[in-house]
Amino acid sequence: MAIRHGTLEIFMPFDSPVLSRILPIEIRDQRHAIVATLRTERVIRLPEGLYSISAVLDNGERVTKPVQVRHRESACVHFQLENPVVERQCTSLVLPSYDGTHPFVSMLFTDQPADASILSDLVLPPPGASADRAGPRRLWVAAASPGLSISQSDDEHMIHARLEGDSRACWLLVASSAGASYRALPLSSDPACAECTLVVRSDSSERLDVELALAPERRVGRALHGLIETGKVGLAVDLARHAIKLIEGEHADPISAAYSGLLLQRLGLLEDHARPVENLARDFPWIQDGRILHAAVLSRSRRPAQVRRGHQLLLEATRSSPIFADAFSLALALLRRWPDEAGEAERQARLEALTSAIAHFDFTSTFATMEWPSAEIAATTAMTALHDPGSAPHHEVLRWLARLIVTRYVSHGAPPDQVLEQFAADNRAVVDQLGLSGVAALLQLLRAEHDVDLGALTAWPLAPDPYLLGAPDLGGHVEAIRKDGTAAGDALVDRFDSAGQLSPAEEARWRSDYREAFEESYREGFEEHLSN
Amino acid sequence: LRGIHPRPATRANVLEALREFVDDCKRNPDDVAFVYIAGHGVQLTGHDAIVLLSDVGSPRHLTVLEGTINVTTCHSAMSHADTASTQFWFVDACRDDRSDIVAKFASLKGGITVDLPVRDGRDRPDPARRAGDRKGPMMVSPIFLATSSQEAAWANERERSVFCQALLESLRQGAVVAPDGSCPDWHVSTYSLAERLKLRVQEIARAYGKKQHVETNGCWGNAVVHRMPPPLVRLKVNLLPSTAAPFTSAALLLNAKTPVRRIPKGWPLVTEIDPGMYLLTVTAKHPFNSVNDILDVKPPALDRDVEVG
Repeated sequence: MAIRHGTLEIFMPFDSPVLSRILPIEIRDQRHAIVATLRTERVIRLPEGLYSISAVLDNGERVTKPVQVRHRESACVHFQLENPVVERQCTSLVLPSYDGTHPFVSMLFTDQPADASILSDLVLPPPGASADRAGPRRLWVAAASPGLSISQSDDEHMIHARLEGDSRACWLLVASSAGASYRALPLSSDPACAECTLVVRSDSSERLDVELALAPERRVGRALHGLIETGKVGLAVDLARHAIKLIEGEHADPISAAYSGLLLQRLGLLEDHARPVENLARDFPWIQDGRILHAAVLSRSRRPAQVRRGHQLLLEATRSSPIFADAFSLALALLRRWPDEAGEAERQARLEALTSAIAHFDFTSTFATMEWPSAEIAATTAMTALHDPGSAPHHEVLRWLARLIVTRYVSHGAPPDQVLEQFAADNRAVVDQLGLSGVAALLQLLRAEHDVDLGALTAWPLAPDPYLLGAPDLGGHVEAIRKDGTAAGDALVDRFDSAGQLSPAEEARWRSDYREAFEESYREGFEEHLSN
Repeated sequence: LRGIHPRPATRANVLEALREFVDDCKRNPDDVAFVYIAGHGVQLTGHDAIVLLSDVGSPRHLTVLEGTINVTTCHSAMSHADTASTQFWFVDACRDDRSDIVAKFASLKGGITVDLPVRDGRDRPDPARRAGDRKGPMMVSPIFLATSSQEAAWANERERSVFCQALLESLRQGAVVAPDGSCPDWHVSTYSLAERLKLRVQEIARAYGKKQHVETNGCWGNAVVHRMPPPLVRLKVNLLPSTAAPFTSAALLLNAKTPVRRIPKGWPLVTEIDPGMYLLTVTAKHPFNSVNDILDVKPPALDRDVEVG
C-alpha cells in the first residue's frame, strides 16, 4: 500500500542567521525516533501520523508541540516567545545627583587596600525607613562611570543606562535600604548595543535584587544566556563557537564574544579559539574579560615568552573590573595557579589586593557585581551616627545583624555562649563599628524579635577605637571625633589642633590616649544602656 | 553502595584513595570514571572550590588548607592522555557564601591536589579518540556542581541530599532520552543530564523552601552516562468535569492508528505505557462532548486534563 503523506509547516519567532543555524528544530515520530532536524523554519513532507516537534527558542526555552499530519493536508506549528513576567515590588526609584565625572573608575581593583571611599558618598535611608510599609522604598543610582547617561523609563522599575561616545568600561553603583551594589554594564559604542536596562525585582531590606539584562539587540548574547540558564550545555557550546568570532564586521558584538569565550573556557573548549581570543584582547582592550581569556590561553603555551606575556596581561587586566563575573573567577584561578613560578610574589600581592573585592563579589551573578549590605555601608559612612553616645543605634543595621546571627550561627547549632565570640571573630570590622552599646542593643533585639538569648555581655572583648582603626588619615577622623562632643574627645582634639603637625611618635601617643578615652566613654554608655 | 565501607575522609585516607583511583583510571579497560565528592565545601571563586576533610584544622597540619581537597585542580590533573577518556564528576558540597571566610582563604594554598600531567602534546581533546583507546587524549570530563556560586547544598537530616535525589531520579527516568545519532538505545547523555539536573534540583530545593542551582564546568562534550531499555512511562489522564465519568469511554491509539490494549477503565485513567505519540479519543454521551487529544508520552511521566463539558 502506498504511503500517504501530508505537509508540515513550521514558523519560528526569530530571524537571526546565527541563531537559525544553531538552534535546531527536531521532528520525532510516534516512537520518538528523530525523523528530521531542521535549522530554519520550513515546510516538510511527512508520512501521515503523529509527530512531536521540539524547538529551542532564543531565550533558551525548549518548547515541544504535538501535531497530527494527515493525508494531503497541511499542518502548521507556530513557536512563540512568552512575555517574561517580571516580579516588581519596588515602588519608586530616585535618580542620581550625579554629574558623570565620578573619579572612581576601577573601584576595588586598584592596588590600594579596600578603596571604600566610593561608599562614603552614599546616603542611606533614615533608620527604619524600609520598615515603614506605607512609605516608598527607594533605590538610588549613587554613582556611575564617566560617559554614561542614565534615565528612568516610564515604567518606574527600570533604569536605562546609555553609553555616550567611545566604547569603555561602564558601571553603576545603586543603593537602597538593603545596601549598595556595583554593577559592570555590558555596553559598547555600537548604536544597537550602547544601552542596557536594569530592572528592579525587589529591594527588600534583606537583598537588593536588581536584574541587569543584555540589550535586546544582542540576540546572540541573550540566547547564550538563556541556554546557560536552562542547562542546555550542548547548544550553548555550539552557539558560543560561532559567537566568539563576532568581533569583526557589521554585526560585531565583542561583549557576546567575550561571554562566549568565557563559556568555552569554563567547559574546557577554548583551545581551538585562540585566534579570536587574541583579537578580542588586542582590539577591545577596555573589555578586561578578553584580556583575561587571552592570558588563560597564553598560560598554556609551551613558549616561555608567551607565558610571560600572559602573566603581564593578567596582572594588567586585574586592575580594572571585567564585565562578566566568570572572568573575575578565571582571573583569580590564574593568579592562584599560574604555571610558571616566576612572578609568584607579584601574583600573591595581586591576590591580596583583590581580597576586599573577593569578599564583596557576587559570583552567582552573570555580570561583575559587588554588594555591600547596609551594615557595612553604615560601618563606612555612618560612624558618627553609630557612635554618638546617647543616640539610638542604627536599627536597620542591628536588624540585619540579628538576622545574620540567627541564620548563620544559632540555626547551625553553635552553643549560645560562643555565638557572640564566633560572630565577632568573623565580622570584626562591623562589630568594631557597633561598639559596646550597639552590641548590647543587638542582644536585646535578639531576645525581643527572635527569642534568642545569648547570655550576658561579660566576656565581650572591648571594641577597638573605630575612628583610629587603621585609619591612614588622622586629620579626617579628628573631625569625626570633634562631632562626638565628649569631654575626653574635645581635650584630644584641642591637643591635635594646637600641635599642628604631629610627629609619628606624637601621633602614636595621641592615638593611644584617644583609645583609652574612647573606651572609657563606651563603658559609660554601655552601663547607661543596661541600666535603662 | 552496598559492600563498601568507607573509611573516614581524613587527609591520609583521601590521599591513599586518590592514589588508588588514579592508578585504577590508568589501568581499567572500561575507560570510564565516576567521581562523587560530598561534604562541606567552601568556594573560592566561581571556578574554584575546596571540600573540607574530616580532620580539617588538625593541629598536626602545617597549613590551614592541609585538611581540604581542591576539586578543580584534581579534576584538571585527571585530564590527560593516560587516564580514563570519559569521566563524570559530581560535587555535592556547599559553595559557601560567607564572604569573610572566602576572603580569608582567597590567597591560601595547600589543599590536596594531584600534579598536573607533564605536557606531551597529546593532552588536547581529540574527538577521534574512541572509548577503549589507551594512551590517547582525554575526551569528555564534565563536572556537575550541586550548587551555584555562594550557595548551600541542602539536605534533610538522614535523607539523601537534594542533589543526590535529583541525580538518581534523572538517571533512572528524568533525563532519559530516545535513541539518536549519538546512541542507538534510550539513554542519559551528559547534555540531557545537565538540563534535567538543573531543573530538578531547583524544584526539589524549592519544595524545601530553599534555593539551589546546579552549575557545570570541566571539559564538555556529548557522552552517554547511562543506557537502558525503553522505559515505561506513567500516564495519568483526568476527566473534567469528573461528573462526566459515567458517560464517557476512552481509547489510546499509537500514532493515531494502533489501539493500545488493556487500558484500565474508569477515571482518572492511570496506566504505564511505552513512550510514544498517542491519540487519546474520549467518546462522550450528551450533554458532554467527545474529544481527541494528542499525547506526547515520554519519561518520566505525563499528567493531562481532558475537558468534555
